[in-house]
Order: sequence, then C-alpha cells, then structure tokens
Amino acid sequence: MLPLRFRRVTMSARVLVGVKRVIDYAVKIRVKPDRTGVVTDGVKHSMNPFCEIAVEEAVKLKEKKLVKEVVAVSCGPQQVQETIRTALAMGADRGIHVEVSGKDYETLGPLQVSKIFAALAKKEQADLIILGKQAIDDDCNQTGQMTAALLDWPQGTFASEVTLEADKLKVVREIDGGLETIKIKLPAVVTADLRLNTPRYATLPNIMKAKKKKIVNVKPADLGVDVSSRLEVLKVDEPPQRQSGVKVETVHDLVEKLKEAGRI
Amino acid sequence: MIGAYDLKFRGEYNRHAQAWMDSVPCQVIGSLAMLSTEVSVLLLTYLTLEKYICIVYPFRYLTPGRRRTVTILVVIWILGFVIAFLPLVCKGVFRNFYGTNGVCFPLHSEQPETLGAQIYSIVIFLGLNLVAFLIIVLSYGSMFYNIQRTGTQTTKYTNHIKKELTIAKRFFSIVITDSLCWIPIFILKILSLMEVEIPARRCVGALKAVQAEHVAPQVCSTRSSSSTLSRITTHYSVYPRDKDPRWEGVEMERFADEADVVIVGGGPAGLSAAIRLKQLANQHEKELRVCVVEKASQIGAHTLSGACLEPTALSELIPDWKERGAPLNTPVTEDKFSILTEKYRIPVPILPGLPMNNHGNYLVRLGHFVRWLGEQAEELGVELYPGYAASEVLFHEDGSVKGIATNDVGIAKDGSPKDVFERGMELHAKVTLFGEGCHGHLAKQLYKQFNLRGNCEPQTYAIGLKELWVIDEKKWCPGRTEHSVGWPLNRNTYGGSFLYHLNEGEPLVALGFVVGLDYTNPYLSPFREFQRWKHHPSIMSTLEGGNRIAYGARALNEGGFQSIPKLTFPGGMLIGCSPGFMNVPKIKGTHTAMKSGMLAAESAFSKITDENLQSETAGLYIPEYEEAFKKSWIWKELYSVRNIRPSFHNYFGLYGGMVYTGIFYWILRGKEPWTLKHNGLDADQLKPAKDCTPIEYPKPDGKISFDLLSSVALSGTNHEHDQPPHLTLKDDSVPVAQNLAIYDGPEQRFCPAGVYEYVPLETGDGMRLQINAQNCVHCKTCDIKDPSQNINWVVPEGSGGPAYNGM
Repeated sequence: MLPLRFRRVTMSARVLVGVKRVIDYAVKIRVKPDRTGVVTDGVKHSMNPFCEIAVEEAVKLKEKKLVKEVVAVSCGPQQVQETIRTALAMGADRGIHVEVSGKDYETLGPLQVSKIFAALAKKEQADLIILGKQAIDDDCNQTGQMTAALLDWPQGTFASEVTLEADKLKVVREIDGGLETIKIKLPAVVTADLRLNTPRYATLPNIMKAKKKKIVNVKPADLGVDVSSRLEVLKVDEPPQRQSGVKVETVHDLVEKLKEAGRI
Repeated sequence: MIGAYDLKFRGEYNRHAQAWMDSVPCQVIGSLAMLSTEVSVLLLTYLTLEKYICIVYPFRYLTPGRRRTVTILVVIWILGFVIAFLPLVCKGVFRNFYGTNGVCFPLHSEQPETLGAQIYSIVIFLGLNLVAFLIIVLSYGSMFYNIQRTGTQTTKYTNHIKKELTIAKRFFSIVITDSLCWIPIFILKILSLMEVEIPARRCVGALKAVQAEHVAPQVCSTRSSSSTLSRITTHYSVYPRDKDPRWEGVEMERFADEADVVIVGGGPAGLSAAIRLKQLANQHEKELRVCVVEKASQIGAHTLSGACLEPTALSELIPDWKERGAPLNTPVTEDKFSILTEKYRIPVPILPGLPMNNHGNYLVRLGHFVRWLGEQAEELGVELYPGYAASEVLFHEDGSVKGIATNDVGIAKDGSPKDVFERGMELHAKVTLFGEGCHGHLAKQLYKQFNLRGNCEPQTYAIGLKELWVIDEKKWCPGRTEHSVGWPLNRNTYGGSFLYHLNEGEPLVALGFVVGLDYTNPYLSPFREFQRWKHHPSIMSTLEGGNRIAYGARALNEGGFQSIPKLTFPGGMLIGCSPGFMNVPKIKGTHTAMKSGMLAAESAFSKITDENLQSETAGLYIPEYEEAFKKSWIWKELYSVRNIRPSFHNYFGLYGGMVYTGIFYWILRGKEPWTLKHNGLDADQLKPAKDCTPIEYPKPDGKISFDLLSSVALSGTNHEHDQPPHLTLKDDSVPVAQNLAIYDGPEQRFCPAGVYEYVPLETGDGMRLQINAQNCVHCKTCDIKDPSQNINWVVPEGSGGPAYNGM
C-alpha cells in the first residue's frame, strides 16, 4: 500500500457515492391505514434524484481521470440492488449493498446511514464521499453533514460546482441569496444540489454491462455499526385537503363572507 | 407588401394567421399576386407563340401588326384582371378565396375552400397555367429543333434569325425559371387532388428551393415561410432527422446485441412465452438467450385489467403456482349479473354454461400477477429490461424481421438533441415475439409490412376505465363478482361494468366500466359515463364512505375470432392482445394471451435450437405457431363466442344481443353455421356532431365521482416533460379542420387522461389543439378512435407512462 499522500497526487482517489431507493416523485403517496407510515409495496421506486446528480458528478470526475474508482453504496433490502445497478450503468465501477431489512429498515435514519458511510469510508480508504443533499422521501438533509462530522472531514454541502485541484476541492455552494465558493482539503464530504449537473441516462447497453459489475453484500454488524434508532414515529398523516373556495360577486359580499367566517 | 407584413408578423404567425387571412390587405395582395402571375403567364405564352411563328415560319410574315399586338395585350390584361378580381366580387361562391387557398398565406386554412373556389383554382392553376406552360415548352422545343436544322442548311436569313434567336434565348431563361417555379406547384396540386398525403416538410423544402430562382417570388416566398411556425408534432417519426440541420454531426450509430429470442412487452403473453422458452431450454439442456424489453419502469406497471383470471393457462405453464406464491388470493365465490336502469337493478340469472359464469376463476390485481410472472421468468434466466421501449422494427435485407431497436433518449420537446442524448440499442434475434398488448404501435407497422390483416376483419375495440377503492369493511364481501349492462349507456352503445371484491389484506374493491369504441355520438365521454355509473344506487351503497386509491384506463380488443390477423411472418410472431385473443362475453383475455405466448414458444423452440436448420429467410419463419394455434383451445373458445359481440349490432342493441346469446350460445354452443360481421373500423363509426345530441353529464361530487385531472394524478402517470409529444399527428392542421369542425373535438372526451385539449388561439378567434402528452396513460384509444386517423401513438422515452400498482 502506497502512502496516503502519494495516492492522491497520482490521482488514484476513490469516491463513495450514496444512492437511495425512494418512492418515485411522480407517484401519489398513500398513508397506511394504521398511520405508521406510507404504502410502499408495489409502488414505483427509483433512485433519489439528488443521488443521481451525485453519481453523475463522481462519474464525471472519473472521466476526467481525476479519480480512479467510483463505488456506489446503498442501504436497504434486496431491492436496493436495482438502484445500485442503475448507478453502475451510469458509470460507477462497483457497488456495496449494506443489507438492512425489516424493522431496522423502517426506522433507518440519517444518523444510522452516516455511521455506515463513515465506517465504509475508512474500510474502503475513500478520499471523497459524494451524496445527494437530501432524499425526496424524508427530506432530512442530514446524512452528508453527519457523515462529515463522524469522520471529522471538511464538508462542501449544496454544491452547484465542484473542481478537484490536486488534494484541494473547490466547491461552489448554493446558499440563501447567492453562491459561496469554498476550498476544502481532501478527504471530504460533498452533497449535491440540483444545479450541479444533468445526470446521464442509464442506457440499455450500460445496464447490460452493469449486470457484470460486482455488488458486494455487507451487513451493518460487519462494519461494527449499530442501526437501532432512537426515534419513534408517533403517526403519519396525510396533509389536510384544501377546502374549495367560494366566488363572490361584489366587495360587499366579500366583506359579508369574511365576517361570517369570523376573519374580520 | 408581403415582405413588410412578413416582417411585422415574423415568429408569431400563428397568432395572426386567421385575422390576416380574413383581412383586406390579404385579399388585395392575393389578387395582385394572382394578377401579376396570370398576366405574366399569358404574356409569356403570347410572346413565345409570336417568336415561334417568327422562327419556325419565317417566310410567311405572319408577324402581327401594331394594332393587333395592342389588342392582344389589352385582352390579356383584361383577362388577368377578371381572373384576379372575380373571387373578390363573387364572395358568395368563393367566400374568402385568397385567405383559404394559400396565395397570401402559406398555411392550410381551418376553413376549407368552397367547392366553387376549388373548381376555380383548379381551372386556373391546372387548366390555364398548365396549358400555357405546355405551349411555352413545346414552342421552345420546336424552335430549337428548327434552328438546329435550318441553321446548318441556310445562311440567307441568318441575320434575321440571329436577332430573333438572341431574344428567344433571353425568353428561354425566363421561361426556365418560370417553369421551375410552376412544376412543383402543378405536381403538388395534382397530388393533392388525388389526395396523396404530402409531408409538409418536403413540400416546403421543394418550394424553398424554387424560391431562390423564381422570377416573381411573391407566390413562393409566402408559402415557404410556414417553416417558422410552431409545430404541434415534432417527433422524428414525422420529421426525419437526417434532413434536420440540428442533428448534423450527432452520432447515430447504435450498439447492437444478439439474442436467440427477443420479446417485445413484458405482459402475460410475453412473460409466458419467455418462461416456456426457458423451461424447454432447461429441459433439453440447451443454451438460450431470451430478452424481454418493456416500456414500463417496472414489470406490471403498465398492466391494467379487471381482472377475473381463468387459471387454465397458468396451470399449464406453472402447475405449482400455488406453492410458488402466485398472487391469486381471491377465488370467485359469488357471481351477480344485472341490467341497470336509472333507478333499478334487474338481476339476470347466470346459467351454468354461459360465458359469464366465473366459477373456478380468481379475482386478481393483474399488475401484481404480472410482476410475479416476471420474478418466475428471471429465476429461469430470462433477461428482463423494464424501462426500455421497443421503438423500431429492424429488418434483414431479405425483408424478414431482424429484431428491434429501443427508443432514443434525450431529445428536447422541439425535436432537437439535448446534451444527454443517447441513441437506443439494437437487439437482434433469430425470432422476435411481439406482445405489445392491444393496438401495439409496432404491430400496426407489421400489419402493413406483411399484409397480416388481408384476410380478416378490422379489429374492433373498447375502452376500459378502472378504479381501486378501499371501502367500509362492513360492505366488503371478498370473492363477490358483479357485472352489469345497461344504464347509463343507451341500448345501442355496447358496454358494461364490473365490481370485484378483492381479498388483499384490506377491504379493497376493483371497479370499472367498459365502453365499445364503435359508439356513434361524438359527445359521449367514457370517463364521465363511468363516473356517472358509480352513482347508481346499487353501486353507490358499496362505495359510500370509501376511499379511491387508484385510477387507470386501457383499450381492449373486441374483434375476437373474425379479427385475428395472420400471426406469423419471417422473423417474427404476434402474441397476446397484440393480435387480440380476448373472449368478449367472458371479458377475459389473460388466459388466451398466456396460452398464445406458450404456443409461440413451443413452436419456435425446436427451430431455434436446430443446428442443421435450413431457413429460407434470415429471420426464422415459424408457421407451426399458427397451426398449433388453430388446434388449441383458444381457437375453439373464440370460435364458439364469435357471434356474440356482433349480434349487438341490431335495432334492439343490447336486448337483441342478449336474446341472441341466450338462444344461440346457450343452446347451440356457438355451433351455428354462420359468422356475423363487425361494423368495420371504430374510427369510422362517429356521426357528425350536428346529427347528435350533446350529453349532459352531472358534475362530480368529489366523494363518489371525480374530475378527470384528480383521477389521472392517481395513475402515477409521468413522462420526462422535455421530449417531443409521443402522440404524433400526421398533419397538424387536421384536428381543428376536421375533428373540431365536424365532430366537435371528440378526442377531448374519449381520452381518459385529458391529453387532448382545444384551447382558444391567443388572437381570440379560432381554436388550436393542445396535446398534454405527459398525462398519457398509454391506453391507445386516440390512435383507435380518431375519426380522421391522424393520430399515431409512438413510444415515449422508456419508463414514461403510468405507474400502476397492481391494476
């Protein structure tokens, strides 16, 4: 094994990319009758759109020969292998499936996932972790930050432009009211925002090739990670239905109606 | 003048088109254009004739005197004025002649030309101009011939002839440019008279080429400007990319791969064929590569059916389906059939032996069943590729089918390539199975290519709409099956309903409504009939307090026995609902579709694996499938019920059909020696709107009945928005000119997803068609029912479409 410093200079960095399997954004969500969660069985799933952007960015770095290997990671039951397969078809080199199922999967949150990523980053000697800024199912926006904290690595969140210069990373961040450019040192964690790039398609020839790429199956326990959750879901409710409005003819009517409703 | 108006309206022609065509300047410019063209044509003819006489008969001194020339010129000018201004004077006959015939506006108008105007323009364009043109050409031909001949023989009159010759040469160049301009117009006019379809692009291209050389450019230039108009259809199947400058230099090479069998469509038929092939391969220890492409993002996500499944074919295919956990959870326990009137329900006894008897069948969520079939197929080593649609049939040089190509991705809405553009992939096979489901778009091409429908009747169709509800547990009777006919449809509209109580862990019912697409009233809306039907007292009582969780729609075949096309052709076979094996009175087609896939697999297997096989065509031809099909129980089953659907085409409609079924089916078991005919294409059945009464539908109450858009939202339908609409129009102007003008826009009503909308033009007068292709649930009804047969459904980017969960 070469010294860490030397590996980076020769552009042989390894990137871990997180890919989450989520309910497709076009599907109308239905809450389970017992209000413990949403119906997922048989529902169309796809890769979280921000994770697609993360994969694209990693693959671009690889195409520019700035990194050596892109590893796609997903946590969940057997089906997440489809999501990893998509990442492999987009250009990732291999996959790691961290198997979490049943009750553990239902309660799997950002903290557990970031523990897994931190452990994997050490195990795989990764130099860069690229994640989506958030997942469209729980909208947490925490995994990237937590992973950086657990590893004590610098973080470049909400990235809309990433430039790798030797062992430095220039990240343009989307912040309230504008853009912020920062320079951080590798190893680092980057989370992808919407404008970072346009993800490529997973084409059929690449899907076929991806079938030959390797996906390693690991359990959280193998990584020494405890995935038990400290949160308890009390109930999940549908958003209240919007009440239909009424049309009024005149200003007088409007005032009357508002008075009736007790607004004025 | 036209140039000035062109500048004014540049880039926004659509907005002003109608107003401009009706305006006075248009009329004036039109008539001026006509005047100058006709006068120049007549003058040219006259001058040519004069030169002709001068050169060919130089000794006769027939050269007209000054007076005669003046008279002739005056006559020509008068004639020109009459021709040009006659349409303006006789408004009654010609109406808006210049506005509609395209002289001052390049587009096909929404108001067709009147008969008088048509005859007039034919007489002028084809009669007068063609005659003049022929005279000019013949005269010049003859002149040059004479000059060649006499030039060598005599020098006496050389000087005289030389002078004439230079003039003649000058005229000749004028005539050449003139004829270059007119020839395309003559050809187009003749073609349009013969009702040949002219792709607008080519026409514009031809005229554009002419424009550069034209002596009187106004006529041509106005016509060519249509290319700047915004199009409805931008798909490359209508506007080929090889001539599109935006596609220059784009890599169009496709990656190709080889399989033994490629199957288009991962539904019951395609997956049954795949499973059977791999079963046989494993049994005979042969290597066999079977690939299935499916346009849905996951197997079963585009499947929609009732569904009451007859497990015959399944038991033949996978005898241990129970142990393998097939999702057949609800055996039919109770069977109800009734005729509905607005308020009442008249129960009809289901005698054993009637096709409606469902004893032994299962109520299923067919999408889940198909997903399970997919798992079985994958376990056997079938390669499934959901999310990739077959968009093209590939052919060998000998004309046999070579395989398919999947769709390209990354094309923008305007038809140009995006940065992420990726070409589709070619999948070659020894034999390709087409199981696209009802009215598949590749099958549609194959019918033409191999004339597969030459010996059968046109397919007839129906549209089925379906919802899933979670109802009050007290009203839930798992295994109950209810069917109805009658209200809200009239007796001459074929259709009916189903309501199935499913046993899927929660109090679930599947309900739906089917309407025969041979209906005649363009005001009928299958969607709203369905919504109205749910308010029938006997149905509403079940649904009250419940929650709708899913919605979807799909066309289905009803042609049955009479409409089965030829099933085999070199390199390919048709399976499942693509050719159409639906048993209409049973309202079941899954078992026949599965069986057809199995038969195709069995017939193909021995030929594919025979290493010594001498095939005449590069793609294997397997007529054994068709023979096996005719010996199978599908054939017998479809034969026996062949007359039931067409028996509804009688004055008494529904009641006549039921009496016929009672007598002939129940007593004779379909053994009657005659076969009734269907009514022909569903697209031809609509009556003009003026002959029909608009149907007043009640407003949805938001509890039992719903509006269209909230329904479509429940289907999970989505398409990448920045892609060319996959509902392509052969001609963008037809919807407004025909469908709206004559049938009051029936596509707004028969589309169950709100894809088609007529919206007012921005100028406020007239309408235009808007296609909301993202909403499309891939039901194919528009392609079937469009009265002008102008809509061609093609596949969108793979994985687009509905995302049904067990529909």
